[in-house]
Amino acid sequence: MLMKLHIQGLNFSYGEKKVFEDTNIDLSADKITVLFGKNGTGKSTLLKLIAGIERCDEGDILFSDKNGSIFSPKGMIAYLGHKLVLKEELTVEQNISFWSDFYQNTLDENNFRLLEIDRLRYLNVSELSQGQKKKLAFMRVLLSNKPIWLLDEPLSNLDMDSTETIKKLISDRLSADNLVLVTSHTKSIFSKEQIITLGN
Amino acid sequence: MNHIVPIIKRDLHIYFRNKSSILIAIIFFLVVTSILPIGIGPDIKVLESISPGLLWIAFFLSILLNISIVFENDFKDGSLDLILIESELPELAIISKIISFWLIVVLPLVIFLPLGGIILNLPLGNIKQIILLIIISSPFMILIASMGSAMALRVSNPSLLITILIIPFYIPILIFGTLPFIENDIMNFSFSRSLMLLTSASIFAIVFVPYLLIYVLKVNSD
Repeated sequence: MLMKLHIQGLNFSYGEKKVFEDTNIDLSADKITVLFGKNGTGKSTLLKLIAGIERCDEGDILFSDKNGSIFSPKGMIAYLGHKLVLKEELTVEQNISFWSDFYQNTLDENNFRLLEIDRLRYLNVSELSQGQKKKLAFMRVLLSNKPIWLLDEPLSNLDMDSTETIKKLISDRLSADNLVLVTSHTKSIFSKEQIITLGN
Repeated sequence: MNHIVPIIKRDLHIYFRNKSSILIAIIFFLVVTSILPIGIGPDIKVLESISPGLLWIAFFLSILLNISIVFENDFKDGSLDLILIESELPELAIISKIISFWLIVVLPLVIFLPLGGIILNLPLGNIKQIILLIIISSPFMILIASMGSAMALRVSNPSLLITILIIPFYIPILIFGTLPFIENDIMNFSFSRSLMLLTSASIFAIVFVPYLLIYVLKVNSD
């Protein structure tokens, strides 16, 4: 059995605009889930609903573990949204140090080299490019070591090499105990992916 | 529990980088306590009768002027989501932020309180007692003010709105904080009674307000 996510009878709207109407989705941890769709189809909103940042108007979002038991995901989710959770006034090193303390975890130096963060450590975050900020933000997700990853467009603003590196790091995460959801404007990103097309 | 120290450490780091919050609170406090006696005129008895209240009000306003910094930056850069989603006990993470604010804004103000008391011509004994009452009631004051800050997260210049929202909650604190130092033959309200009431208010706030804060922040965050 695998960790699963069950979305049942989901209704959600921003004011008058209905984003989800009686939506049912079942996902399992054997593949990376790619939420695919045009702008405004609710990809980011769905991640926020799963993360608990937004609340459903109606319906349930449930997680079940390997044994099929429903569990609360409180404290088990790593969320990477459009806001990158970076303190611009601090250095890269100080940001990483905070996350290490926050998650009580450290990363192998190899990850820093792979993401080319090692040579940026003593720069202020405000001096980084958008792509470098994105990679640094992804480091936080790696450091969190949480079993559920909700990544909102993790590959945007990245060069080709960095895109491949992050794709590999996300793919390496795949296991029966880890659920990974990614939003994207393109399909066929990962070798093992299940695509949920929103906006139909 | 393990999130408390890292959050405090990081917040202090950021506050020390932008020292303006500390300086603005202290300068505002000293300006208010210096200007008010000039406005009252040369009658020292009038000043003595109202100076405990003035000291409290100067302290309140100095806090309210800065309270928006508690959540503002974390809201803008997404750290608030991190606290709300990824903490197992977000209430403790919120308390960490309150402790940081206490250390960086309230503590320096407390250090300058004796100077404010002297400027307002308060007797030394009263200054000591007022400082104790202010320290004891400061958790209540900050937590309640943080509620205003959380409610006004999406407002561009929130200080005025926060002040309007929060001042009514400060009135009982102001009453109990000043009664022992003004002539109150009718009620004969003692210092120890004030201390007890203000301690109760702070304990109540520490126990209940973090839960309300989490709710308000969740509603107001993205």
